[in-house]
Amino acid sequence: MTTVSVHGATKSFGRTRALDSVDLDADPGVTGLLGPNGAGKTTLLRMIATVLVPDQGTVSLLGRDPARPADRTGIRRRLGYLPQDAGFHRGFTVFEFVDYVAILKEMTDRRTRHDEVRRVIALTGLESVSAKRIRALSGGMRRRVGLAQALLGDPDLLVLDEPTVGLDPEQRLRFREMISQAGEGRTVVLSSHQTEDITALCGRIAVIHQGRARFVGTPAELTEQAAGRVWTDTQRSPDALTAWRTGDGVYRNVGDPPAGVELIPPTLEDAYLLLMSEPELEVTR
Amino acid sequence: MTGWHLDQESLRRYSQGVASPVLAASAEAHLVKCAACRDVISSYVDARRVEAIWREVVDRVDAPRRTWPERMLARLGVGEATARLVAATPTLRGPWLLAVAGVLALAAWAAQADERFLQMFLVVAPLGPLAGVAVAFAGGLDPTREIGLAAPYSGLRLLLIRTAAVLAVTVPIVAAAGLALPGSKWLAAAWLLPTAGLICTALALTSRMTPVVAVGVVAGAWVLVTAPATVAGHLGVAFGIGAQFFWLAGAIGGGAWLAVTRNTITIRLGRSA
Amino acid sequence: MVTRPPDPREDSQLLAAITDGDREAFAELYRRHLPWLLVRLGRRCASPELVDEVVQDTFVAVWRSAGKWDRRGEVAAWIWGIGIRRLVDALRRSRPPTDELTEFAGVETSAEEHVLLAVQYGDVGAALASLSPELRAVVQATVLDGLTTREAARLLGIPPGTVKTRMMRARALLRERLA
Repeated sequence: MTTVSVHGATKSFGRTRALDSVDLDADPGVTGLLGPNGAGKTTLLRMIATVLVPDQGTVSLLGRDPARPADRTGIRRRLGYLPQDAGFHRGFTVFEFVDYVAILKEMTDRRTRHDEVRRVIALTGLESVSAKRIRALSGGMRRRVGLAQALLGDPDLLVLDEPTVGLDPEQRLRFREMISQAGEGRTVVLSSHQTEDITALCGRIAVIHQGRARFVGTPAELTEQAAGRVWTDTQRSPDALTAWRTGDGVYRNVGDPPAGVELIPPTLEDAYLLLMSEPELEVTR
Repeated sequence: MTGWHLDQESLRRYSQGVASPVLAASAEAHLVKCAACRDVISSYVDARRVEAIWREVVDRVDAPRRTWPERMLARLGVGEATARLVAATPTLRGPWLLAVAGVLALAAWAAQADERFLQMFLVVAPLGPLAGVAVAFAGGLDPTREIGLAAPYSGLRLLLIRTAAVLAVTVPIVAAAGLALPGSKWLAAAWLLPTAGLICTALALTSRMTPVVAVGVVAGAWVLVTAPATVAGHLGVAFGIGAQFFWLAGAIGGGAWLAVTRNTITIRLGRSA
Repeated sequence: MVTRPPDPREDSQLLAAITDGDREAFAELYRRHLPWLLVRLGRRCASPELVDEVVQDTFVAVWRSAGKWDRRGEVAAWIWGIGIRRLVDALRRSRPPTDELTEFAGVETSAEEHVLLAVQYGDVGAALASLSPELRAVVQATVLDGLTTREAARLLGIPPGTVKTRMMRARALLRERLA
């Protein structure tokens, strides 16, 4: 069974079409949505988190239909969601906040709930601050609190909207570690505008741009799309869509290479840049 | 601190409870002041006992402190988890209650000064509890916002719990303000059924719009209808016997509709849920 | 708790950190102060279960009211003050109340008594040892533990009036021995 199955999902807010006939499947492992800010990643993730219903198209989560109230509660019992703007109650301590979410996740027995809260707090390395008020925490720590609450109840589906945004490099590494651990045996769908995060974490990616899925496949497949389109030169090539001077003094050019240049293996970022610069590229699967 | 320390043997005897009373008294007087000797004591204490007590302490320290509304609700037989949800309702925090009380105190004071304001009090009275309900769900104040929208906890249940909590606090405030008014005491009660009707209508509307918008729609309609009538002196239009029956019917109807449809409707606690 | 390198902070600094919700500081303060408190309270109460409960209460209170420490004197003395009073409360709950008729208002241990016992005279130890166990218990509760007459009565399970009379007798005897 496919954990997440989105078909032809379309959503408009007023006159803006946020999502335009998007298809996406996700199975156990980490699936990443890559795209610039405002591309529609958040809209798609909110659908997968049962918060938003598409105007057209279908969404199936864990084999159920989130549009039906009875099914939706069943999905939510097995869902963990870290929204982009988690909206903390700033007067709460870390423990109190996670405990509050645990109540909303229907954990009514105090003792077992507290044990579960302590478990996710330990998983995210927050023990030492569990009694601190959220308003006293740094942005990185707050992000961890958000991840902690998403892990409550060991959900089968984890939806993380920009989990690494605003983190310093060290925290990002720590977060990657936590997410990849979380991805063992469950389905994680996350979004990012950082190709490094996606490369490091995801077995499958969807590139979202202007409300459409421009690419869905493995990172290797996406990288492959840029094969033969990256070359080095002593100067910026006029044929390059984009080019920059690297640390060792040579220019890295991405685009349609002229004859006789030295081609080099592409990276995922090269492929992503190419995809973004070609607005009408066919949807690949 | 000082160079003098208890000798190892004395500390052992004291720790194991076999020291003479005089040695014990002297050891205790010294231990209060000497960190080094206190440290020696720890080697005579069962580490498992220390660890077990620590676990209990940590559990009690972590656990959210129960606020007085929670303790009160617990005494009334409300479950611990539900009491937590009630206590976290934004309206129940000081500033908002003060705002509601302040506005009504102002209305009551104005009514003392001028007869016409007396009638305006009736128009304003239901707005206090209504505003309280809106504040309980205002995006920036809700403790969990988006997260709560994706949680399995029943939206209708949360809506009713928070509304009940808000009413339990705001209605007495409005009632107290009404009793402070001069003139007929029926004024102090005439707003109750309209308030019930308006609240139930707003709740029923939450299957179509967020609570904040629903309250806005209901409150707007209320003011548009009653304010001109009241100013013109036709109090009976909104508060007469016939009107009271209308509000009662509205309250019962809204409540019944929610009860019947509770398993099929989607409560919109947040934007586009 | 895992073993970690010693925390260089003073007790008073740990208390300040606890006010800010620093869990590590709390663990360190617990590590330093739980053992002696356990032993000292254990000498005043025969039930280890009750002592465990009391020290638990004490450290929860330390965590919550670290900000209320007045920054004077030893942190250990402050913790003891909390601990012994919790023990008195716990004993009162677990014991039947004493005869109300003989109870009268608690009297703070006077400064005179502290001076009498702790500073002015040299051979306090021998003098204390010569007291009967009943009198010594009263001296210990009021002078060493810093309890009021009423609290000492609860701790020892005797009427406050008896505490007063025993204290008077003990004082007379000590004065005699030390003179």
